[in-house]
Amino acid sequence: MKIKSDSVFFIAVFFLFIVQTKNYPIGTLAKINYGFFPLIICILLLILSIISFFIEND
Amino acid sequence: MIDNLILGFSESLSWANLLWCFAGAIIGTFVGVVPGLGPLAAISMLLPFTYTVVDPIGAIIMMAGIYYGSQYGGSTTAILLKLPGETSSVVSTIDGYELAKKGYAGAALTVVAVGSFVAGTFATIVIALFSPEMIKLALVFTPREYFSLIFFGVVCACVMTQQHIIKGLLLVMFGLLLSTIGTDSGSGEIRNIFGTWNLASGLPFIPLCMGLYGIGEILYNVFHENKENNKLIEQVKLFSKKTLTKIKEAKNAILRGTLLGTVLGVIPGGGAILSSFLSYTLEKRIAKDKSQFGKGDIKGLAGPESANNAGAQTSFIPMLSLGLPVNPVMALMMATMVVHDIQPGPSVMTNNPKLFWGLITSMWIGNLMLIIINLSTVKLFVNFFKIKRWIIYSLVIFSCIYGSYVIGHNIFDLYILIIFGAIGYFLKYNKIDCSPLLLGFILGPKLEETLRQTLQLNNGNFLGFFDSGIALFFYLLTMILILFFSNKKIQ
Repeated sequence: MKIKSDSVFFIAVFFLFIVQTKNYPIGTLAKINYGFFPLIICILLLILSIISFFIEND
Repeated sequence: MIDNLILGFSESLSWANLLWCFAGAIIGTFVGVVPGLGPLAAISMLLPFTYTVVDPIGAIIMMAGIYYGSQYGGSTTAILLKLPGETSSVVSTIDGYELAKKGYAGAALTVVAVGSFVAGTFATIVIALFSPEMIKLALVFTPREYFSLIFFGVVCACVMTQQHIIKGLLLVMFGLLLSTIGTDSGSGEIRNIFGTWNLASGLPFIPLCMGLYGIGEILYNVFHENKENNKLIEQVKLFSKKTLTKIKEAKNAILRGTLLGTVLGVIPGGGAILSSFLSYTLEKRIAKDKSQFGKGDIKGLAGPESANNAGAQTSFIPMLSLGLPVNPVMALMMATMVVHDIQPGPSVMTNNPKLFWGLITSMWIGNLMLIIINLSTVKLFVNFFKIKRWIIYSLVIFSCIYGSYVIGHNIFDLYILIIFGAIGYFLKYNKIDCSPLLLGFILGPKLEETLRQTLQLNNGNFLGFFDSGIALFFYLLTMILILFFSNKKIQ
């Protein structure tokens, strides 16, 4: 399978940020902390990168 | 409203603002004519200069002039050389160049200028009428509604970029992550700074923009230079019987393009580019004789050119009324306001009525200037096209480096410029439009803030996000967009 460089790039971005974010507190839902938003976005980025890896290129 | 318009004209007709408007129109036309240099690169390059030289109103007027001026200029090379100076002029190459080859170059250019002027004037009236109404609506928005609106805007931006929605969403996520770098506005904690304290106040916006759209674009042009070598049509007679006939033929297309562009400009992700593409599709679909499209049908030129101008101008409405940038150019307009200590959004009209109405009226004045500039100096601007590419590229790179450094006087900003220049090139090489990245980066802080506020107001209950008719409406629209575009892209 041809390696899709764009998907690999976004997975690399995920790792870069998750390493930074993993130790931040996320707090309770009523009082979300500064780690909540980046963590959610990181997870979404990873899911989308994996989907992107398997879809056809434009 | 009449009083407000008088206030606006008194501001925009001052000598200084007339000069900035003229400068914006000229730079915009130049940027439109020269391929590889879009309004985004030009505005981001000039933003640091306005900080020191120009007053806030003059700066916004000039930046706006560059944007709509580039829509006029982009069509000139599209018609005379089959080379679009600007992305929104791509469709104009189809019928524009064919018309020029048949000896209708002057007529085509005149129709485009007239169509753009009509569209610009109509869009200015729409902005003057609807922005205050939108502001009234914005004042009843709570964080819940704002969250749903930004969420809709972000998804819309992904859908409209003519690439797979997953790619668009990935870029938005990347932009949102970049926006989390620096000090968290809620808790004051520093996060995602990768061990460098230079990032404590967040990623600098100007070097990021210049990297993505200036350096990235230039690198791509250097490595993948357009080898297309079409013959330049030099026979341009602007005013003749042919011109009048073509204007008559094109009048309905101009009106349709104007209406379509006016509506599409307001939609997030819309604006000039989408308007021109959809207008061409519409004209082709409703034409009685479809066989003429692609062979020099004036309707295929007049419609898209009017639409892109109307779309470029009405995209100011959400930015001025809601503080929501619908495309990267509007994000830069917002940055221009922020640099000059003006908070974009509903408060602009109440706190800065001179700026608000001055900008609106300057758009009409700018359009008037552009029709004169474009019709009288066509040949002069076409000559700009003959300037050696390396001269333009060197100037752009110099401006990017100088502009990145001059705002913060920090060498770190140049590293950001280089890193994002490389990212910009990489994305362009992979045929990915980086507009959603920039919108994600701009809207990220507001999205996080409204997310937090909504959760706090509802004691952490996620159902609170849906406890409003307006919010539900935007979520429904977002769902429809995702479902509709999940397996297709806009052609």
